[in-house]
Amino acid sequence: VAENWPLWAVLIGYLSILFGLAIWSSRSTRDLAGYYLAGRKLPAAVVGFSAASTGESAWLLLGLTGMGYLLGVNALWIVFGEVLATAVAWAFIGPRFKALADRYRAITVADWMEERFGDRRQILRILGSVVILVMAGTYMAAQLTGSGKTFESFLGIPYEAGVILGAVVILTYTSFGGLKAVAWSDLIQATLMAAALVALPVVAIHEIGGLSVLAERLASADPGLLRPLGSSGASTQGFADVISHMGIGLAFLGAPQLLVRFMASKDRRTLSDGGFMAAFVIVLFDLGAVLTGMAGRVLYPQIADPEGILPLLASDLMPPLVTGLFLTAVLAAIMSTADSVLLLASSAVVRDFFEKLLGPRHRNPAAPGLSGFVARVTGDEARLARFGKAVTLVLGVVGIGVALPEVRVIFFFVLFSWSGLGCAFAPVVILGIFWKRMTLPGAVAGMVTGFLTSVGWFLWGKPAYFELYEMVVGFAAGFAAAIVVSLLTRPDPEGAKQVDLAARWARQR
Amino acid sequence: VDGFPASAWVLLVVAIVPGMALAIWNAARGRRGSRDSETR
Repeated sequence: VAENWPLWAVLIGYLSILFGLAIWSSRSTRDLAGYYLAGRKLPAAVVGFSAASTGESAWLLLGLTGMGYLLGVNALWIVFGEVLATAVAWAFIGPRFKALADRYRAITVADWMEERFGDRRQILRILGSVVILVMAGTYMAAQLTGSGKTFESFLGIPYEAGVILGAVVILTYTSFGGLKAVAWSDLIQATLMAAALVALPVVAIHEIGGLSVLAERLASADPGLLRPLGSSGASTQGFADVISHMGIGLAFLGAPQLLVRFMASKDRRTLSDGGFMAAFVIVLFDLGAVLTGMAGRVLYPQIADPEGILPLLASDLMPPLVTGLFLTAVLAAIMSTADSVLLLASSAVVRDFFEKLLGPRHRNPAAPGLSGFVARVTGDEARLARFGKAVTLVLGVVGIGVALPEVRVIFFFVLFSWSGLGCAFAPVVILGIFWKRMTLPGAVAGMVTGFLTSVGWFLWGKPAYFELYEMVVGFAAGFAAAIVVSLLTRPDPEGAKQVDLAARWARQR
Repeated sequence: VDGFPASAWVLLVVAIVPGMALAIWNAARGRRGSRDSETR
């Protein structure tokens, strides 16, 4: 500890701020909308930064820098996809989605879908909450694995201690403070991440001797690093790579953890300002990460793991106190994603499963056993919110249990949890907002097909077809299934009315 | 320019400009909208 004191000092300062936020937020978590949606009162800067940093996990600082290292200029297609998808989501999808969400008093995306498609049998709620629980759960466990590794590599403390330390911090502020603490902490975390990703390439390129030396040395390492189509050039593989890279941004169009930010926004104006901030932050994040990777390629031409380039550059080029800031930036990226998906999983259990599925079937508080317990909890809003905090805590402890043995299979799952969530929800929500002919069976088909295709493609299709990214295929399949099944089933006049109303309300407010 | 080929600079512009232009247009639209509703 003694030799690493600057790192510890920065770390303790950062953690104190997070705990302070939890205490400040806990007062406004007395009902479910307060706990899971921050009372629908979040301002533009908070929702914008929060959406950006939730979408970008530790993958941004470790994975995207690694892609900049391996691919060079070609990795800029990722920036194109992510920035454009973010702007489209906030300009066109957010206003209509939120207009209906406010009208329905929705707390989860499943609430929204049930009302929009008149799903009396709650099929979409059951499917959606199972997908969220499995995908968000593994996503969080993998982020905790990242936390263990980060503490291990920066501070030299054991992996298990790093997992537990990270989890205890995330659990404390998420379970006490709910979305208000999560979103405000995201504002701080996104600022840290952006600062790190702007400072590091500037220092590294200066160290190299400027942009022209960078370009010269990249070209001599591999001319493909400077070509927009990469080393494969204008071939089928080259174009498949470009489509795959652009496709990474697709989940920004409608992954549930981002739709929740629309629901929690204060008003219509918050969405337009927040959208600008989200797009701007993502430009800083992504460009910084790609440039960091390219500079790293020149400074360290031969490293075993390109995903370790950021910690390596930070510890070699920066003074110790600033290296501490990079440690917190990596932790910030991990925490800003883990807290959001943890809360999302908690809302699926408490709101979707307990309150909406079990609640109506168990109404007698005096009944013995589970039935009486469900009736007592769901009958009282304050008690339900307290139950939500307990569930968040329990899910977090389960996450620790999964992350501790450092099972390899977790990484296997995390690779498609981002695309699985995107493919299950985005096509259904987008069509549900814009297309009057959409029906409930179409929505069910779209959700199931989108999700299963993305998982199936990852497992079996990808290696055989130019490594095409599973989200691109899952999205296409989800849209196609939803459209075909909707056209084959009876039109839903009530649903068509909702589409008109969404358009009108989105314009008015 | 600065050692990078022109196609790399074109890709940089393509990566940033469409998304940011849409985000700026949307923010301006939101401001106009809220001004209109205040004066109404």
